[in-house]
Amino acid sequence: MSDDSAHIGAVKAWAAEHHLPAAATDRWLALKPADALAILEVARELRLRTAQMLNMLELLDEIGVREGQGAAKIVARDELRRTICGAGSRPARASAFMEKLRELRYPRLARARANLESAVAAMRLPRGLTVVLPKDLSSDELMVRLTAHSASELDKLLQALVDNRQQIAALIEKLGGSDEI
Amino acid sequence: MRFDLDRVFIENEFRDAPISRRVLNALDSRVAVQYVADGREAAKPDRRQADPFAAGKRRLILMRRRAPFLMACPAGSAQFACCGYLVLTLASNCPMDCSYCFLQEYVADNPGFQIYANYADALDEIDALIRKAPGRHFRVGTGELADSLAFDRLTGLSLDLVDYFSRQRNAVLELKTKTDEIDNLLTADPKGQVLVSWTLSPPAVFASSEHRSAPPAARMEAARRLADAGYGVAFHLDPMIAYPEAERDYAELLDRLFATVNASKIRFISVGGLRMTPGLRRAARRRFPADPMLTGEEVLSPDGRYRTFTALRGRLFDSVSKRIRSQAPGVAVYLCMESAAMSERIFGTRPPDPAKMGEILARGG
Ligand code: SF4
Repeated sequence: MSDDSAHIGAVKAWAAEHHLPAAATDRWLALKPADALAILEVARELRLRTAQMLNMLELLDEIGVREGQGAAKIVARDELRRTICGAGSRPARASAFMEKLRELRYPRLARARANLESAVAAMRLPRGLTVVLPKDLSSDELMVRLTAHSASELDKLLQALVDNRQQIAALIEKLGGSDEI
Repeated sequence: MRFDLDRVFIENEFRDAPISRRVLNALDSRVAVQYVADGREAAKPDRRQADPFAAGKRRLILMRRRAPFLMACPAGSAQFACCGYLVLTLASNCPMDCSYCFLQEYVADNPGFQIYANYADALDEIDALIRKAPGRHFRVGTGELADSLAFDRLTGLSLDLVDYFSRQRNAVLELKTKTDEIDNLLTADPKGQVLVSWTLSPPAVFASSEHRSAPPAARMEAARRLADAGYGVAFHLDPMIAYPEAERDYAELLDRLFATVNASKIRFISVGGLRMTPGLRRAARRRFPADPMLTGEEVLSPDGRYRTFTALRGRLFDSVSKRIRSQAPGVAVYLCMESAAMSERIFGTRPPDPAKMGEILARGG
């Protein structure tokens, strides 16, 4: 076995053990050895599940296409290394890693979401009044939820809603693209 | 437009039709020609090929259209700010190969490059429509399932269409293209009844995604020449792709457009974002794995399509709309396949209903 193909058996073994679909295994094996190995190391270190591996392969591929980098370089970035080697249980680190990878794949979406979430937090809405951002900011639909257990609680929440009307309206405009991203 | 054809199929009934003679005369004589009873067989995908869709583009089929030629715009529904456009299907598939093209999914089971030789029936259908609604204005476009001009050098179809529409009073023809194939059009007199529109993308998108199409500058120059020859011209910034430098590049593209084509001659500019069904996205990524334009910040949207997340898309629409308003305030701009709320946010008003919009655009603003 040449050095270049040393990883093949290990990748196949991981794929077989985790019932990774054949198409995904083929894509993984088609990567440069260093990239395929880097993925395998992450999978082993974080004990990734099959669904996480599928997601990782896709995200790394798409980041790579956009930024012209292979998987090994991408997973070596500090922000990802920190999630791999940081404190916490393996499942917690695995989900932090996937979250960070997704942020790298969708950088402007991640920034926009962080801005909107801090604007929501800054309103300091009372318990029972929640503002729910659309999943993946995929629309301009903002959901406002009121949960009251008594008439007086309802009055209090409605008043809070009125008091925050302007900020909530601004959030809707931001969802539609009023801000620099 | 250079054609890379493996074979031409002609249905027996069109063996001696003028369109068949025109196509055969224009083609390289080395391309094999086969006469068949039913072209539908040749239109099916050849699954032995690595890329059956691309292989379909290389099989030109002159055949009968067995379904109606005229349809309402597939985008038309109460939910969308649509333009009330009627689609005339004279061909299916296209010799160009844009990585985001919806045909990759839409005609995946039928990818042969079909040209409908009984197109005279299409004109009969339009006659019937006009007779039924004599007071209305119609916009009839041929660029839905194929580029309107990509095969014009072979068929000369544009001449028959311009001749027909130049005699109409309440129907305009809209040809939609990414080519600069305008030689035939320049020999005809549209009498104000023909509008040619171009999809425009910044050079970065052209280079990465719009294979075999004419460069953006060539499209603009073709538009200038046709505008001077009496054609209405319009542009589609659709699909807009929100890559990192997009705002700057679309602004430069518009500057270049207004420097090339006199704004007073531009009938309208439509604006729309990249949208892909999950199936199209899979097909596009499989066929063009290295195209960075397919790996932007698209997320699954409530309508089941991948679209650039709303805030980024809205921001890009807003920047191009401001650019157009500052440089060419008289040019009509509309959003395609977006909600009325998005239109209101960008333009300050809700869009008119599709039929009304179609009439406004047919008359030119
Ligand atoms: S020019 Fe239009 S029809 Fe042709 S491949 Fe491109 S998007 Fe598709």
